[in-house]
Amino acid sequence: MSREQVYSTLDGNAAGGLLREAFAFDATAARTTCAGCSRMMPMGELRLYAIELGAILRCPSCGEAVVRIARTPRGLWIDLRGAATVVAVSAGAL
Amino acid sequence: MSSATTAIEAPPAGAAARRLAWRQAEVVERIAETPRATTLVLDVPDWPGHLAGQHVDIRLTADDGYQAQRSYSIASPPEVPRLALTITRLERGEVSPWLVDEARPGDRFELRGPIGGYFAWSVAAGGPLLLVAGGSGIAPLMAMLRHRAASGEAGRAVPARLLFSSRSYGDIIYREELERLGSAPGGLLIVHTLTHERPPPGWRGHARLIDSPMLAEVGFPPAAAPKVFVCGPTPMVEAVAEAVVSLGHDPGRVKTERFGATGGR
Repeated sequence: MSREQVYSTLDGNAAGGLLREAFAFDATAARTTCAGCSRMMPMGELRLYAIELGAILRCPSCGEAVVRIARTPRGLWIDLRGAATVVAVSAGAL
Repeated sequence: MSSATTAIEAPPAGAAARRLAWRQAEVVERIAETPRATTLVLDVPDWPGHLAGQHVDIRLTADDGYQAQRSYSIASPPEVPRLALTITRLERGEVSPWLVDEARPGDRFELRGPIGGYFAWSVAAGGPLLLVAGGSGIAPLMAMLRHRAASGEAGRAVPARLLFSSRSYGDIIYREELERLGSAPGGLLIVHTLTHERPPPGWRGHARLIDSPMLAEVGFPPAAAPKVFVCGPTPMVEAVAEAVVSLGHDPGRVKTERFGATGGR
């Protein structure tokens, strides 16, 4: 079983700590539009792959890699090509 | 199809590290919940407080420097200063066997949090509240029920229902506390279902996987617009979320959290 398969049972909530390192807002609640299929959902609903060295968060509908984060010796490398938009939801709007 | 390459490099450490610091947590108590699940009660200095449903990251470091990190839901309510994490032993896990079998009062490890404002609830957010748990997915939902119970009149004013799926009677986490919560006055209905073993004589719950009829029976009607929280293994969460929406509930009010075999949740 590959690591990707192993971690495909988790979702973006489990990457919340890493996302807090990357973003100044609570990204698990941030509504994100998939650039592949235009589905909009909170990052917490994305499927999580490969949490150890960073994270790949994929769209549950089309599999697009919406958020990619890697740990590098110089810091975090963040690739958001798969996210058409990200709407940061303010804390009171739960 | 995107053509632009938008890569961002954030500075290491810096502001982000200050926002979410690693702290030293100390085990103060172990509670055996079921043969496979143990609650660790932790003292975390300068804990900033949390919302019911949030989680923490735990980082264990071996003597040779190897580190393993996992995320666990907080089972204790915001009203209690010490954090309770309920951890299920995963046979091939790197982290959970140590936490469940070896960690003793006085042991320390690194912890950061609270994390995640998406799968979170407070009495102030109101209800009704429909909670659906599978196995150790009960932990963040238990924090919500404990928070509701600790909130007095305001808590009792929120109608709440819990549908809880466990493998067997002996695998029901927090069974006795749930009995007490469910029999106390104040609008909480708890329904169990057992999925893998024949229920004991006199069993009043269900004995099958959660399905639409069960959700229709236990849950509120869509017109009541309940806030729905579903936490459990991925197949269970997917099936429940789909069934809840097909019953007519607004997908925007259905929040889910999945845990997997190696995620340690």
